[in-house]
Amino acid sequence: MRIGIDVGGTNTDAVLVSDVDTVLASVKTPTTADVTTGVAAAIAAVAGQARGGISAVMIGTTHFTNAVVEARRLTPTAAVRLGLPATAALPPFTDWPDRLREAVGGRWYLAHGGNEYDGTELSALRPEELKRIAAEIAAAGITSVALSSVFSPVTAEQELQAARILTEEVPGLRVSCSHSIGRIGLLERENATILNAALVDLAEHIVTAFGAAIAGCGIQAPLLLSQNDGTLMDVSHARSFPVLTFASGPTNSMRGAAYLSGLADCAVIDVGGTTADIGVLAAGFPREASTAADIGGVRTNFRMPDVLPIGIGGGSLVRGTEVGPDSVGYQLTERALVFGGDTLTATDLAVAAGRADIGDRSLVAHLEQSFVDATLERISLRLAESVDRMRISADPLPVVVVGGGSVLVPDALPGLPDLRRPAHHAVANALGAAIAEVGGEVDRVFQVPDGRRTAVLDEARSEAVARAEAAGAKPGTVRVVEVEEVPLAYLPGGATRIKVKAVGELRRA
Amino acid sequence: MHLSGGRLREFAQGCDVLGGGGGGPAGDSLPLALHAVDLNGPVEVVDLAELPEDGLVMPCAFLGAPAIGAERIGTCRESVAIRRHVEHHFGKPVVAMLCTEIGGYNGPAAAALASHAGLPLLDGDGMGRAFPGVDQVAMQLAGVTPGPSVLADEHDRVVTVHAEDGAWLERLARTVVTGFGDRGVSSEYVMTAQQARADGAVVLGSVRKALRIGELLAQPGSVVRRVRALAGEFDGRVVAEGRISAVLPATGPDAEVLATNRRTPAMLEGIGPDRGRTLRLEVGHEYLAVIEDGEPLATMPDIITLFDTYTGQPVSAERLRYGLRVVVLALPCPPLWRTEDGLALVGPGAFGLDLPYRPLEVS
Repeated sequence: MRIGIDVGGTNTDAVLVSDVDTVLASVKTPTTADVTTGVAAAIAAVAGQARGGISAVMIGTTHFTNAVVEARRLTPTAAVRLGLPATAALPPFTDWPDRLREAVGGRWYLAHGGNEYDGTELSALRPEELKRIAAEIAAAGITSVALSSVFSPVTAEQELQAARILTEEVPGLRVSCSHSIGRIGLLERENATILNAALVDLAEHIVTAFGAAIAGCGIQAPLLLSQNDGTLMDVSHARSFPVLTFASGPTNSMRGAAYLSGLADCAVIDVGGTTADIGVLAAGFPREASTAADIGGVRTNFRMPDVLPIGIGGGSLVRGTEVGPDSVGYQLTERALVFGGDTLTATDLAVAAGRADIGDRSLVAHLEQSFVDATLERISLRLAESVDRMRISADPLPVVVVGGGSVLVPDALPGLPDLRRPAHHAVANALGAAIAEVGGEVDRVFQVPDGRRTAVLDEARSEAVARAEAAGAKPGTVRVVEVEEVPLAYLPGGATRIKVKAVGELRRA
Repeated sequence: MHLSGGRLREFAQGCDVLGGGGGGPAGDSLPLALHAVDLNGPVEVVDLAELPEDGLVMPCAFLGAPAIGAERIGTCRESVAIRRHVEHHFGKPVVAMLCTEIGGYNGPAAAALASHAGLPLLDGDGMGRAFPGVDQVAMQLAGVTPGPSVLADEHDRVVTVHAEDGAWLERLARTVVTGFGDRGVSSEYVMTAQQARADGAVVLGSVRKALRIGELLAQPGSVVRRVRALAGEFDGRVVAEGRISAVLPATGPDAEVLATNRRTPAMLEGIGPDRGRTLRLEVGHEYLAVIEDGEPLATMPDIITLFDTYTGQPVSAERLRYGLRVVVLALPCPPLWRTEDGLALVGPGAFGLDLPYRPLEVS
């Protein structure tokens, strides 16, 4: 049995699932100011119903994202980039919001180093230069460094060597290396690395607190954290790479919803009080956004799920036949007509149409049926159009509807006849954490000589599988879920950027 | 007039529109320009008439794969070394930078390169849009000698290529850039201000035009309305509003498909007032043609730009995908491309299309 937990801004949800992933118990508790009290309460509520031992506890949390968004509890960080003379056109922290730059100190250094796309040296590392930088960092009392280097995803050697030099010079210095955090795209990878370096102290604190909360419930099972791509990492990894937890919430929610409906390829519509969030899953994983993910105003190249929010939710205001985007939000139970309020909301329409039994139906009996039908029809059309925007082909696409506002969605949408509403959908995100797997990824430039494409792709696949196994996946269960090839135009030798992602079941202790 | 801050942002937006789907994202080079201006002050935009006759006009652009540029960001000081070598070669001072390609990445990049080289930016460019070829510039048509090609990387390594014709110059210049690690800045078709004043030797007014396009798109109102305003002001045409209903894969050997005139047909299904219409888009590095019922509505070298109806942003040819809602805008190309010689260089045939060129009909 496993416990999955989702710590959101409002609620902390927990589910208990069996070894064959059926939901045995679930609970929704308020998120507490110190977070861990709420987590402990949620665990205690479901653990009490466990018959037998708990083998793992998986937590998806917004702690780290919130710390960045609020620019609070961040560790002063220096950015060191290896690339000179290249990259001087854009120094680190370019385009950062002032508040966040000030919160992490905004100290940066450019040093010689870096590689070309094929791994050859761009500039040689200069140890003396790094020692000078180390001395300045030590003098400034900085304890965490973000190290980036041109084309380090192709070859990490220089970052590793520079990290050795810096830690030798400044004992106790924590160094986050960009090659283990991001992919190709120097500025975005560097930004993510800086955010990571700024979160290391908070990570230590949070991971320790979660561990204590679990132990306090008498559970002796490994703790795992959800990553943004829907896979898991263990505690030691989470301490070093807290930034990888960003956006695990939407990913878990979509994966949980798809799992509940038994589908691996589908669209998910999550209707809340103010918005409906729409995403598409392929092979059980959300499609990734193609644009750079913006976190607290900083561009990163994280693998964020491609989610389209539209301004339609259960609390959306209805004016004429216009619905949303403003909403009564959490005041639905005071302001909606069916609750005796004076505001016409989308939920009132659903009740008037007989789609939902919420509040007092007689309070909306005066609404013209033709008006109700026409307005709900508009909502349906907008949802259908939004799903259509997200789809990647004209193939039939089943739709899974979840969330408190899902009463707005009829049993079929225009052009989308296969629509499902799974049970337990209110805790889809906690379930998404509980069913998560372990992944490994390769993303770099390979040389692909004529006639060697298959061999090179196989090499990349094996590497991704090996990485998944190293990260804790059970050998034999690992499968490749995504392969992407992008030939770099004009380059000889068939230089091609290849991305491969492999995932497998969590290895049980 | 000067470029800095908000004006640079609007300029970059206009460059993306003039890219006609190609040229790489101007948003990627905008930070280079903003940072350069922070260091060196605003970039002065000058008219040809202000330049001394005998002074040199130096075109500049980045060459190489955009994916390399995302990692190996240059210094944008490559233009300093290039300027030195150009002045040495010609024995005359450079008095202005010319943007080689206003469409896409190289628009804002030229502002950054001009800023670091301490040069004003001429209000014009070599293309009036984006093209993939080094020789697809107004200067080639006007008979300006292409060579030498002066190429530099961020290590101040400089290579000067001499060749008698444009094709060899491009071939050798590309080899040099590959040697640089597929990233470098190049200058060709250096000319005097007097040569540049010859009819059609450069596309005049491109910088102000890009800026104005950016201003129009920054106005309030729906995307369709803003695009209409743009069409109205620049004698263009809103071809259709639609949804991408298919993007067909390019066929042929990978290397050839990518490095040459990759063509990916896409289908557009009309929506709103255009419901019932079906259009075919020919897509290469740029949008090459829009065809309806076998009739070309717009073709190269006129500028075809797609706007995402939700974000209002131009959609690059690379990012075109199934399901996008777009407004298709066609803008007339500079008149010099509509001549017989112009069409031989950049007409539909130059992009592998068996279509006649018909000047855009303004609605």
